[in-house]
Amino acid sequence: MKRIKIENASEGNMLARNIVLENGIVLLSKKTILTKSLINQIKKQNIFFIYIENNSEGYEEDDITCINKKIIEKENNLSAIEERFVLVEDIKLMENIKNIIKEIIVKEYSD
Amino acid sequence: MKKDKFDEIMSAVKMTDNLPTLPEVIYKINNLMEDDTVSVNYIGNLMTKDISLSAKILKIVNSPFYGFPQRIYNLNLALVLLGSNTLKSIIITSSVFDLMKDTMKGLWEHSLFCALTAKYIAKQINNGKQKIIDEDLVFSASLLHDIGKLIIAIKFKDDFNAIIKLAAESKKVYAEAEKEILDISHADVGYFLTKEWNYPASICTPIRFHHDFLMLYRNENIDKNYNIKSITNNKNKLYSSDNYVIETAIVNLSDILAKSLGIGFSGSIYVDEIKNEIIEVLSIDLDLLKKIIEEIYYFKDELNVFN
Repeated sequence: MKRIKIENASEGNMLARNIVLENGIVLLSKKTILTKSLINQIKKQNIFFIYIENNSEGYEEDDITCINKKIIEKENNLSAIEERFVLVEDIKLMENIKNIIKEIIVKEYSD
Repeated sequence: MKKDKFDEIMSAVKMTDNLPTLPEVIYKINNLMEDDTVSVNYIGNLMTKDISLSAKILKIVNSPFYGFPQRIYNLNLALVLLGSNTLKSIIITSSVFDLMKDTMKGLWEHSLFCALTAKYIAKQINNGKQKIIDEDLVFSASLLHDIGKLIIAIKFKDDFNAIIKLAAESKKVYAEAEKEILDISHADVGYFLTKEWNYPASICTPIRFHHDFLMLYRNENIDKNYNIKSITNNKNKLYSSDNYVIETAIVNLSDILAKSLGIGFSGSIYVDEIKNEIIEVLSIDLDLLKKIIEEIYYFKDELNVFN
């Protein structure tokens, strides 16, 4: 079992512990295999760390998966920005700010 | 269906024993610091009576954000180094600290990020030349700008959850969803609460108008030329700080930038518009805005030092 940041979770990871919300409700039980939408659900609950099984798939030990994962993460970040700015789409200043942030994200992942 | 909660919420604010009140020592120190004649030693001694507060102050003083070259173990020394304004903002920080973290972690991160951002923007505007804006004051006002949400989240949990649900489902900013569920805004609740706590208008006013900048701007009949640029050029002659338009603009801008970067969670993921008047009052151009965003982006890595 290891503790990872939710940003580093990838599809195929198997939960090693239940994810329990502050109000006591079990969001996901252990042995659940993570999917992209489940990972998003977890993020929405402001959970920052999860425990996954060591032998689950989709690993950062593997260089190729690691690179793929980074690309997916970047794409997820960029599409999250689009979603956040959906109410201010026609405003020039906000468009500029959105583009500045996108540039920063792209730069961060290119390093 | 909008619920008539105004009276209920207001009485919750009035009934201070129901509320996250400030510890007694903080209250005393707060009053003392209004008085310039009180010595640092006296305040220091009073503070050491609250051990958890002392520990928190030393922890924050020693965090990379304040960036002193050596570790500071002596509370009196910390007070001298920081000065009373910074100290006050730390006291305010530490008093809402645990409560906010326990209730809503995302809101805590959002608030702290806003505070760091507001301080950075004030610093950029002051630009080392002259102190137009009190950097620690905008830090505090930003840190507390959503304190009203905390009250609503604690006292009116169902309404709060309903607002969050509505915002997510019909893609609204929090303040808009809030209007449909409650007849009092978190900004007003925050304003009345900080007034109850005897905070100065320099903190209460930005909290009250952090979603209604234009209301403040127009109410105060602000001159079209009232902006940082003209204030700097006229060597402060134009600047009357008692309307807190500049402070409110900074709090508003920090709030929207935090949402834009998606750091923390304050009830809705959707980004609100930055009004042109805010940019004009602060005399910020796109290059400076870019510089600010590039810099604050990395504050996200520093949020945990306050935990």
